Amino acid sequence: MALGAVAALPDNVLRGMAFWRTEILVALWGIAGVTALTGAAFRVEGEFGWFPVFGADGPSLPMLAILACVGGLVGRGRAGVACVLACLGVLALSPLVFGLFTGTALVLLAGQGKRGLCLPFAVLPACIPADSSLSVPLLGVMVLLVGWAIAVQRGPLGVLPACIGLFLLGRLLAEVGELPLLSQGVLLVCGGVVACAGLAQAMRGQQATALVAGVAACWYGMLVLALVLALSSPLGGADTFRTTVVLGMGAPAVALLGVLWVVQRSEASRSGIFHTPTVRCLLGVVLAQCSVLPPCGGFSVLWAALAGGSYSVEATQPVVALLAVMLVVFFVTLGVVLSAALVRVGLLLLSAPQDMPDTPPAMVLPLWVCAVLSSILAFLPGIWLFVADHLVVGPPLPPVTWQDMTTVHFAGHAARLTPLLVLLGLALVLLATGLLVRMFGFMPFVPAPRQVAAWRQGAPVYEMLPDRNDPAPAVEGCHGGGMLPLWSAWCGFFTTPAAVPVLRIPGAGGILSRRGKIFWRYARRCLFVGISWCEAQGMILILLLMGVGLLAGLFVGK
Amino acid sequence: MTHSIPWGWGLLFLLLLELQTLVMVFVAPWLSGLVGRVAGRLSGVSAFPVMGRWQDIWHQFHRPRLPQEGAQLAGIACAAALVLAVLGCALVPVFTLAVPGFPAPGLLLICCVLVMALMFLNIPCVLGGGLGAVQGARGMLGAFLLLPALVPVFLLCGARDFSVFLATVHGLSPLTDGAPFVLAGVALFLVPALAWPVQDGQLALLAGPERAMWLWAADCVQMAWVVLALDTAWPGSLAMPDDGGMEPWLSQCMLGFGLWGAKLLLAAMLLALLRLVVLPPLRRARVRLVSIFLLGVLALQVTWSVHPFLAEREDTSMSAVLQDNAQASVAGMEEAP
Repeated sequence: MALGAVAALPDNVLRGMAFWRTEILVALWGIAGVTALTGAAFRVEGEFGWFPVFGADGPSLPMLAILACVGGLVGRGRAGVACVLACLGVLALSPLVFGLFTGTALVLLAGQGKRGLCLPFAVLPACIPADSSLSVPLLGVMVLLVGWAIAVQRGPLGVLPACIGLFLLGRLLAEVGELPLLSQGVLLVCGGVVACAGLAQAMRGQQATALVAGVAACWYGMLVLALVLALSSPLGGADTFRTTVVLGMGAPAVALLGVLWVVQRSEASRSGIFHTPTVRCLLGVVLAQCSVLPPCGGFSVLWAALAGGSYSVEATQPVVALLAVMLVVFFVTLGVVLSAALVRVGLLLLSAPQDMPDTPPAMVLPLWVCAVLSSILAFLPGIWLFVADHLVVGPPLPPVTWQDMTTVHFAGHAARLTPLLVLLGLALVLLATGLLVRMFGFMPFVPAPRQVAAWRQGAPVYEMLPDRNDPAPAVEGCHGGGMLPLWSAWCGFFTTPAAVPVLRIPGAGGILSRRGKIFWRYARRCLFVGISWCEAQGMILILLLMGVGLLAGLFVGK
Repeated sequence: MTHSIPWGWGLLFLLLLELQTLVMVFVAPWLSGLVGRVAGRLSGVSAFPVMGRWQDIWHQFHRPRLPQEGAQLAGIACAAALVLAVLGCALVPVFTLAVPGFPAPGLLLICCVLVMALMFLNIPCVLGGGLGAVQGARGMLGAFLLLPALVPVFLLCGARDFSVFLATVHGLSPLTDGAPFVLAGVALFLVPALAWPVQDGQLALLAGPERAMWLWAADCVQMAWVVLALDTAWPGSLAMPDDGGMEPWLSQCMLGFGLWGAKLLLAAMLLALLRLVVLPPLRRARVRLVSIFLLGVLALQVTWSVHPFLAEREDTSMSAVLQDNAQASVAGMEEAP
């Protein structure tokens, strides 16, 4: 770890080595990650005898492995230093040292301005006793601040605050134990707010980096929800929610890192990096591992959450069960809309123009690593569940057999999910469909052999006139609509009716304001009618009121 | 699931699975044509042949495709939708339940596969850009939001294999004890029934084999939803491979196959009747989501009030009483010295 710090810090001290700095850094991070994984697999715990500030306990080693992935991707400079500091903070034993290191890391992430002022407060709950009354509000503030920090990051660094936040939240909640209902509600609402804000950013963002940062924030919010349900709720499926968190920190996290890296690279290099079909396939794999496509990583998260909801519903009273159903519906909605946002990312990146044959092939080794690693973690989930079991505090793991490597299952329940079998079924069906389609005399994905003139194809022939002064139509409508207008669809889905937008008065606002205005007029009319009726009645009303007052006085006075 | 499967049963079941998939895939356009025919008759249009959909698919497979910009992505989306739709057809139990011990999918897996197929069906429309992109995004959101709307049905089935669930409710009569499952089946049936029936807008940019794959995938998805709903509503019509030997199971399979045809006819009538509901697409999608969710919650509540959780609750209360006794005894032990 200290070596990592040394390699990140000096800028021109190592002169001859500066050329190899990237490789050295990546190698060091790789060594750190492998060490952490090995330690986590063999359940190394304890502290350094000669330096009792740092030590390894349950959740720190798996978290260290994820942080090593982040560190390998972010490279040098401030981001690398922040990563090293976060690693040191995760390894620290005392909460004050943890707060110091991670607070510094968050400040390094944030840069100047009000973000730099606010973000260090996120680690404040580490510094106060966990059972004080301020703890829960501070935890809520921490969740919100960390969500904010994720949503504004550009590139793979966005996972770093998420790791810090989840680590701190898991520690503190495990220390407190079961919380009262109101505190749980506060934490759940905070997580939900973070996830919804991230989703809104992912649905309406125009730039790819902002969009993916929103996706990362939504992922963090979902994990916060699952973590709160796992550690501090009395629901029956708490252990299952714990598995959900561990699964969500596995394959989707690595795949998300890959997506963030790709988006950052394609923004950085102007010509884009999606020239070869290999890169496109890798991007597709990484996106699929985040989404709810069945055998992939996101699907196992969803499956585990649903199993947890099912066990909670079976074990509790109907009112609590209805609340659990609502929570599960919310969780599944988040996951599903997250997949829609991922589709948007994919369409945005893949439908960009790609005809530049002479550009050199870009370096996509990190993408390869992310894709392969997330596929392994997703298709053999037992490995990750075994290694990272201590990521969230829970009951000890039952003895593991080799058959458990491929399945997700819960102790004491019959449900099990085997992604490899689903993958096998998918491959078989792919084969069968290929045969069927071939039987129809059609070879898929072969370029059309017979090219006819454009006017004979039957589609309307149109050309964009290139020499117009305004470049607006080229932006608006050419490239096959690279953007998926998810936000307008979402708004249209829930608020406005399917009206023709031309008919709407531009200043009048949405349907709610219009209906509110009409309702207000109606209510005012009712008020006027009532007042005029009262005026018409004159004395009788006053008598009635006096009578009512007298009666009330009689009864109240007794 | 620890006991091993006899090899003969497993092989036979695999064979039946292949047969079922093929039959489902090839009958799907016929069902769609039948629904179109009946709906046309009901609304006064009589020139819709039952095999028209098949003819269309066959014809499109032999047309040359249009070289277009972005056609490759649309082609990939159509192929993925077709693969996922065929996978959905293979996962749904049609005339027999899975052999116990054989790995079978859960309801969430089946529904996820079908929803992803629906999502891929909307991608060509989105790729067209313009107003179609908004419509495609709406369709995609409507498909994705089916999953949260179906969560009560998932919870009703529990986290177990779908055919295990069907085996537990196999003997219940749909009129008395199995009524909540009929409600869940209706909720599942509303997914294809309240889908927007006019597909021209989504198809407009496709031509040639892509269009054929799109049409076929849409039919397979509709078929899979219908069969899923019918299974949930009346699991008694499926063959149970558990009791007796292989011959009664096979004869039950034959019977189940016949019943499946009858159920499809009934479903075609219902689908055609529901085509008569005239609503704009957005409102239709909203009505679909809300009614699916409410039906699912209703089914879940009815199951709570009626059926099997009473036993479990008694068990938990018994265990709680036992724990109390144990604590009391421990306390007594502590107090004693």
